[in-house]
Amino acid sequence: MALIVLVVFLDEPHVLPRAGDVLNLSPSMLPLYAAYSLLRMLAAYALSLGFALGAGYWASATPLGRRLILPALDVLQSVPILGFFPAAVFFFIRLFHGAAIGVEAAAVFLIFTSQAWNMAFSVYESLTTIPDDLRTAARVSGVEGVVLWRRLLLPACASRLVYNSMLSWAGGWYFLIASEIIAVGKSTWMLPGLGSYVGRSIALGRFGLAAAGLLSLVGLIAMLHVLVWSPLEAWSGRFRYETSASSETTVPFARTLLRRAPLARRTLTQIGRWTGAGLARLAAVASHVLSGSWVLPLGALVAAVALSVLVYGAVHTIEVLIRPLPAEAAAIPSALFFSFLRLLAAYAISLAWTVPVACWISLSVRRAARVMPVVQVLASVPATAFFPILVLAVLRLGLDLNVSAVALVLTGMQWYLLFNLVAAAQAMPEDLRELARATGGGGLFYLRRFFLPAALPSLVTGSLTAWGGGWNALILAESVTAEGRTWSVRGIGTLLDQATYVRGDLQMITLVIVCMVTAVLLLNRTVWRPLYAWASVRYRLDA
Amino acid sequence: MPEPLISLVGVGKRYDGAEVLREVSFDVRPGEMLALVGPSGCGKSTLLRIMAGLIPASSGEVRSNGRLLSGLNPDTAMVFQSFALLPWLKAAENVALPLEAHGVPAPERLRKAEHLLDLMGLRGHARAYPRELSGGMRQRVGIARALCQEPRVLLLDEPFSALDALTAQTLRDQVIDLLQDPAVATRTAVLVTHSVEEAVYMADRVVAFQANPGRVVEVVPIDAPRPRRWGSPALVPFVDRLYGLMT
Repeated sequence: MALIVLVVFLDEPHVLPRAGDVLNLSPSMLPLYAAYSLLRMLAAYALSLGFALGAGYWASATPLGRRLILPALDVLQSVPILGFFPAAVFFFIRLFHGAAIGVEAAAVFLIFTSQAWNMAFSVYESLTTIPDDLRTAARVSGVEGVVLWRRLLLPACASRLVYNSMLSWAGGWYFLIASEIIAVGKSTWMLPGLGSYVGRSIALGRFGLAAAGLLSLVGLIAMLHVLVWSPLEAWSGRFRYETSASSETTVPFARTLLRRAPLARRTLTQIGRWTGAGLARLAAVASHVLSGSWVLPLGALVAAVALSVLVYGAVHTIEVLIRPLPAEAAAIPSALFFSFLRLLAAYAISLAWTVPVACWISLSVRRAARVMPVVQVLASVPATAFFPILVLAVLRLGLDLNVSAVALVLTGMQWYLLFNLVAAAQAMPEDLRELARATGGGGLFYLRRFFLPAALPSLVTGSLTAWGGGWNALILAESVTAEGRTWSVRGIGTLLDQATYVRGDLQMITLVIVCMVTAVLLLNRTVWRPLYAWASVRYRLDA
Repeated sequence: MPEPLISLVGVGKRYDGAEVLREVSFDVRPGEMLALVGPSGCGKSTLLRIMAGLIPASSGEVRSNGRLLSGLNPDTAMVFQSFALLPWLKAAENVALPLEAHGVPAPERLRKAEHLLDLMGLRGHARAYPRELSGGMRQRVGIARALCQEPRVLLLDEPFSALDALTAQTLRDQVIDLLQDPAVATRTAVLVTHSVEEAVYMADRVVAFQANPGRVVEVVPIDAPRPRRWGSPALVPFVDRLYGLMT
């Protein structure tokens, strides 16, 4: 963060010129581009995993860590990351002296920022909820270092970490495609990958190629889900604490396959064992190194440097902000307002379909088990890949561009709501369900008296994250490049887009980001937090 | 009289100014079963953790084998009310955990773990996960893990409280037998319990506690002959005496 601040402000503002035609659109290139995209994802995920374990452990182990990490994660989670993408591109391109790898680094960094925070939270939560007796038992058994990580700490994190990794991975695709499309649409550098392939094809009006690209993307995501995530999720179930024998509901397809291939199974088991042992060793070494006495002065030094850079950045931000305001700045409040209206509309649509669906699912446990895998795959298909198509459809049909903007924002919001609501539906106690059935009354009665009260805390949490996703989508949604020109509607996303790519106006970029972040944080503090505090006390199920 | 294995002299414990234990003194003698009995909140579990070296005493002196205790006590091992098994490890892996911590190679530590599981009557369950075992079986795994450390003193923290009455009774007898078994090195145990009947049934001596702050009222020798029978008239006077002391 501090480094970004430093480079962005030490640098002369400059315009990133738009792309030339450099992408090879032959379909035979698709596997290569898929590999590029996947590599970016893997790099970002590895970074996120390392960060999550480090930050989560630090926050759980020391009061200082907790006081620094938790508030930082809280803010970072709700800030619209895509808004910082231009700044990140500036930074990494300067860092690598203009080499193309700078854009790669910026994309990986962007994906990382979309993945890391909830994973770190999950590690923190897992480590702090290890039962006291287990920790004591490990201690009196003399367990420490590598064995402690391997046998207690990593397994304790496994279940939550795998679940959050799935969510993060899905979110990561969204941002990967976004960054590839932004890069291809607007700057001179490009990121070869499936996202840029689709974006470029559509920009050139080659719809057959675009369809092939989309198909590869969806295929890749579905394949990874079936072969990697769903087996991992099933496997991670054994790392939960409920010691009662539980019946497994679904056997993942991959496991059925593996049962017929003992050699592959043994190889996978061995790989899993090595990965576990390796991670444990790394983590143990890292936590040992971090507990050394020389860490404190070094940490203080790093903190001091980071702090002075941040202060420097803050001073410059203020300096930029108090310069005589440019004429365009007057547009910010109204742009913010129009963007807010779009979010509101998308939120209303999300609520209108997710609440009834979740309510319907809550009526039967089996329903959830059948519906959820499908929804998971659907949700992990990055809506960003369909942005250009959607915009084109809206243009062809002669609809208002606000329609596409709201639809795009919707794709960034709805899944968060649905997942949180379904989790609440699944957590609804069986006796409440039976009571509802015994009481009779129609669906609306059930919705009003049973489902909504039981799901309210989750609804608020889901809304908070959905709005976070919505602000992010906004950056992409309001200004889209298709068929060789840029289509935009009035809003904060458009302002940021123009400031970055049309005028290279550092003051406007800063102004817009500051205003947007302020609006987001203000909304969280004044609406969602109080609402959550109220709902979680008033509608607790275990009270 | 032989040297005590653990000796406490004037041990006190405070948490944020609140006094939990005051001036506790007694010895753990070799070969005995010593029970600590008292109402909840009298600090008996805290005292057990002080003996294990898990938490330091605020005042007074704790000696193990004559040496002043600092840090973990290598002569003790602990059994928990909640069993404290790692749910993701098989029974034998749970038992072998202390050996793994000390770098014993896998084949050797698993062999020893299976031997201990046999001893606990769990032959054939070595590869079962805790969730597949009943409560009594889980606690047997917990005891086997403690014995794996070959402690001189076994620390038992309400080990039978989470079990049904019948299972608890079987396990009490099994623990008494184990401490006589030539196949087991451990001869001495400290049992924390809130059940006066359990203390009298199992122990050679009972330390009676009162709460607020936790302090020793009296150390009562239970010189009833063994084997004992649950609820036998010979034990009644001891039970009555202890209830009288604590209320």
